[in-house]
Amino acid sequence: MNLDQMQSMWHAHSDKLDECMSLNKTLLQKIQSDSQKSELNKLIWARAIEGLLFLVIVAGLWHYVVSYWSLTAPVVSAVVLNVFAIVGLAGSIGQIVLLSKIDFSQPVRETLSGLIAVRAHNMTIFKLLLISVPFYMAYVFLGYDLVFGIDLFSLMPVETKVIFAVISVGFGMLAALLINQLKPENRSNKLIGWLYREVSGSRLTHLLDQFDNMEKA
Amino acid sequence: MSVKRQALYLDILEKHKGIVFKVARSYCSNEFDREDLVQEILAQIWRSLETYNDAFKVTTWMYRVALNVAISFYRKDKSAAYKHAEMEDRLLTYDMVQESENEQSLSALYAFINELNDIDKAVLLMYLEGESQAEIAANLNVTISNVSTKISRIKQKLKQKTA
Repeated sequence: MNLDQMQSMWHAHSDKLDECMSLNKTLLQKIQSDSQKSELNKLIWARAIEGLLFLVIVAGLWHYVVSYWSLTAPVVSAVVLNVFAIVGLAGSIGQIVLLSKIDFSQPVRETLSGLIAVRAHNMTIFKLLLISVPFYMAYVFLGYDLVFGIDLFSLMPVETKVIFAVISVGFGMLAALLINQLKPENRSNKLIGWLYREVSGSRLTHLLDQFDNMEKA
Repeated sequence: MSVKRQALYLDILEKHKGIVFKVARSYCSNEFDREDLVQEILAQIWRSLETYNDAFKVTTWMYRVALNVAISFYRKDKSAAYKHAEMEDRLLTYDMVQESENEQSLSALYAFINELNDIDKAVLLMYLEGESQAEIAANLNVTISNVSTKISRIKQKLKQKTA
């Protein structure tokens, strides 16, 4: 069989299908009434809740910064963490915009790109967390001040500060190395492939595979 | 729910339900997955009707929606099979008896399509429908030479398969 024979068989099949097939209109009505429960709509709600959480964190941290304004470690920590929370908030808003723009009647490349951007959200949040790893002491300084009312940084001996600074630099280098490798094209690497599956889920890897198939000429 | 949209939906589906069936059968060999995919496609067609532009040929528009859903369709866990095993009603019922004489060759045809990757399946389906390479390229948003290469590769695979 060649493609031309296949094509004529396909046309005969298509003509016959209209006679052979019937549509269940009762089930169809159920689908229409359930259409708002689509997965993308659920994702919009999830991102809205996530955005609201980030907004609460941003507002809380700003309130802390304004209330205790001075050049102390906890206040600087709150400013640093605020920057990450604002980036997170912007990410959630961007996702909602992106989700509402996905159009399944667009060419396959556009739809796939949109879906990939949506499914890569967890990976983006993971990268944001990785970037914040070198600033891990910011959580500790802020936490100590909030819970115990102690400015831990001012009580630390210089040697301890140096040790923590070196650890932060080390974490920073590791995080930069990992973020640099966390690209879809590096999924053949065992660690990167595993992280993609675990963090973003198999749906993203499935979409990325289809995108690669489309690019292959 | 607008009456006009509802009427358009039923009209489109009555006339072109075969597209949904062909795409679902090409992308899912398992009948439970196929039923899920049919549901997803029909739900998406309903949602996409909100932005339907009648400048498009309706079959092209429907193919785009169906293929986009099928390519991004992620097979759910197998527990879904149990749900459908108890469900006798199907959205699309296909009277196999009417096509029994062709069923063997058709099964072979679908088996061949099923072996291709999801993008090649889309290319082949549009090719079989009689779309030109330029139209296929526009529906995928790839170059015509890319489509041409994919069709040649599919031809080679078919040759190897039937050799």
